[in-house]
Amino acid sequence: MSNTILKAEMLSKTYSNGSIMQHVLKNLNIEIKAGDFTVIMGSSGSGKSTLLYALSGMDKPTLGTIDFKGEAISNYSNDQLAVFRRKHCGFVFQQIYLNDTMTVLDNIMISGLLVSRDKKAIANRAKELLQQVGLSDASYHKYPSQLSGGEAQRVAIVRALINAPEIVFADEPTGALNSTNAVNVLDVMTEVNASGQSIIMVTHDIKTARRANRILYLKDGVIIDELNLGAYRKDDPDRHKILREFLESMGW
Amino acid sequence: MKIRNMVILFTVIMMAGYLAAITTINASQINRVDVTEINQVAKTIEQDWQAGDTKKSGANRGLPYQIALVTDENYQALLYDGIKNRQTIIDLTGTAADGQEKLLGKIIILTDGSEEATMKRNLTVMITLTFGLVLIMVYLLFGLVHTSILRPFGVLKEFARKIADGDLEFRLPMDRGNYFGAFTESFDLMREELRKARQGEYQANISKKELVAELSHDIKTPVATIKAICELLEIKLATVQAEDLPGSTAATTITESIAKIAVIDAKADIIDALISNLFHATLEELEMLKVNVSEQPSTVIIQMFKEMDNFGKIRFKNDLAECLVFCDPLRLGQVIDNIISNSYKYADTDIDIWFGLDKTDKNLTIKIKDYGAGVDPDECPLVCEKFFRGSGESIQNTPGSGLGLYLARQFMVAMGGSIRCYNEGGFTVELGIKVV
Repeated sequence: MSNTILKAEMLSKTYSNGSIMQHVLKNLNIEIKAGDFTVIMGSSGSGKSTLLYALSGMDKPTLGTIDFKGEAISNYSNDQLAVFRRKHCGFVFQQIYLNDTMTVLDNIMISGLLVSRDKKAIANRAKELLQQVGLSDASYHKYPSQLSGGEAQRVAIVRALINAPEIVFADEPTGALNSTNAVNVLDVMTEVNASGQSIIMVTHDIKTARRANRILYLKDGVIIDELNLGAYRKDDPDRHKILREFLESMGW
Repeated sequence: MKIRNMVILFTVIMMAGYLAAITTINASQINRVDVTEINQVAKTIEQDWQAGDTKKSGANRGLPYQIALVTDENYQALLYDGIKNRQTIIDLTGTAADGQEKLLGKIIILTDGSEEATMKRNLTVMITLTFGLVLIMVYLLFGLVHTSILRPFGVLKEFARKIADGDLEFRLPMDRGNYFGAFTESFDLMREELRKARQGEYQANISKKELVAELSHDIKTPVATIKAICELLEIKLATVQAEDLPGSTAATTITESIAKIAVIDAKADIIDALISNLFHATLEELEMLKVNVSEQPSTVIIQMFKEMDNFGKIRFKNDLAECLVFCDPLRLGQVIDNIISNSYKYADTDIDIWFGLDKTDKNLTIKIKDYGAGVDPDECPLVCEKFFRGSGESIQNTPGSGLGLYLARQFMVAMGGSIRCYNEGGFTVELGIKVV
């Protein structure tokens, strides 16, 4: 549990608009350990999503280094980054981004086929994972339009997990779901984390944040505070109270 | 002597006098009754008794008396009363039948004893009142002296102290009803004059500096023109030289001219640098020099060194840690420009650069080191002072204004950073820049 898999040092991201430079992330130092469920919180425009994209290699940082298992991915070319993302990262977004012209199974398998050629093994793993997230055999050949929002998001989670990534990056995965579906999706995420996968998630929602064992609070591109919930059991009622107090102290 | 001590001393003296007076009064016996008078009275009464007038009380010569006869039953009681009342008692004798003198009784002169005590008491009250009044009067006098003379002096003292401290805005409170009114007014006039003079001096100074700033700015334009013309002439003469026959007098003249023009160009460069430092120093004095600190990527620093690396002498000894720093790129550029120019001027060796990042202190250090003679250790702490130039011969022979490192320090401090200069096998400057 204690080995670091992702480490960012002096991470900065600057967007320039003509001569005006906007520093979205400022000298951030973050360490993500294997098995961590990290949640990034903060008000709009604080740089949460930018941080997630920089950490996941979807975007290159302006300054600073990012190490994945000792390798500096901040020096990777775009092609190298694409390969890195495919192999080691899973992504879940608020907009689910399933291909409407493919069935559920195909949607999942296409991600797997980018990494491996063993079609049968991928199909088996996909089915196994779908079972795990509570989707029955009947759904395999449905099209995304035939799924509810919660089901679609669960399919997206399976797609993110198909290559057994070390880290799953999630950007407000429950943002567009109703509360029942949100709880469903979060339960799946919690289970995924319990099986050893690291999760880094951006959220606005305190109920979602409660699932994490570590909360980073971002303001104006700087981590202003960090809360460690790892010491409390997932069902501990104090967990919610402590998180609420933490967020209140952050001016939530 | 303090007024309080004076009051105490005076009170003590008054108290001592008062006590002495009271003691004297109480100790003195006042015998109101004249002895000869009483003897006279006693003789008269005895004669009367001899003559047979045996009245037992009456008045003689204004003195009431009573006679207690030995034969009286209450003889002892009467005597006792007389003694108790502090009355004068004299024997009454008469000649008996056998011709012998014989005590008949006692004449008790009825003087009032308590009258004396009353008188003493009245006297004491009178003296107490008198002394008390005198004491109160003196206290009032002291009070008056204190409020009307000593306190204004205190205010005046405080006023003088403020003036000495340079606070010319402090108005002296005036009370024209006071003896000191006119006196304090003249003091306040003095302050007013002083203030005006000070203000005038300040204004004059400012305009002088503004003039220097304007002039130094204006001088830059003709200097730039001189430089442009120098370059133009150099190019023109070089073309002519190429066309001309080698070895001819004209060719030699042209070669010499080109060399002279190069000197003019170099000198113009020096004038330009001096003027520019003078301009900035004057602006700094006028508090008109703006340092706009913003969050900048540390990579801009590399660019600044590269722009100064005209002779290929700058060597980066390690990688710069990428991070966001607080700086004004324009001013930091000037700082680096000044340091590197100094190194070119005085050392003219390779220049090594080290970067260091302290994450806990949030500080980025840039160590700039040359391998020249360094500065005199005694003069090292002074190099960042305004107009300070080393005393060494080579330094005195090199043109310079003594403003470069001074400005560097001002700029670094304004950016929230630091500058440190020391010798370490050559002159070394360490810049500290705040990390976001």
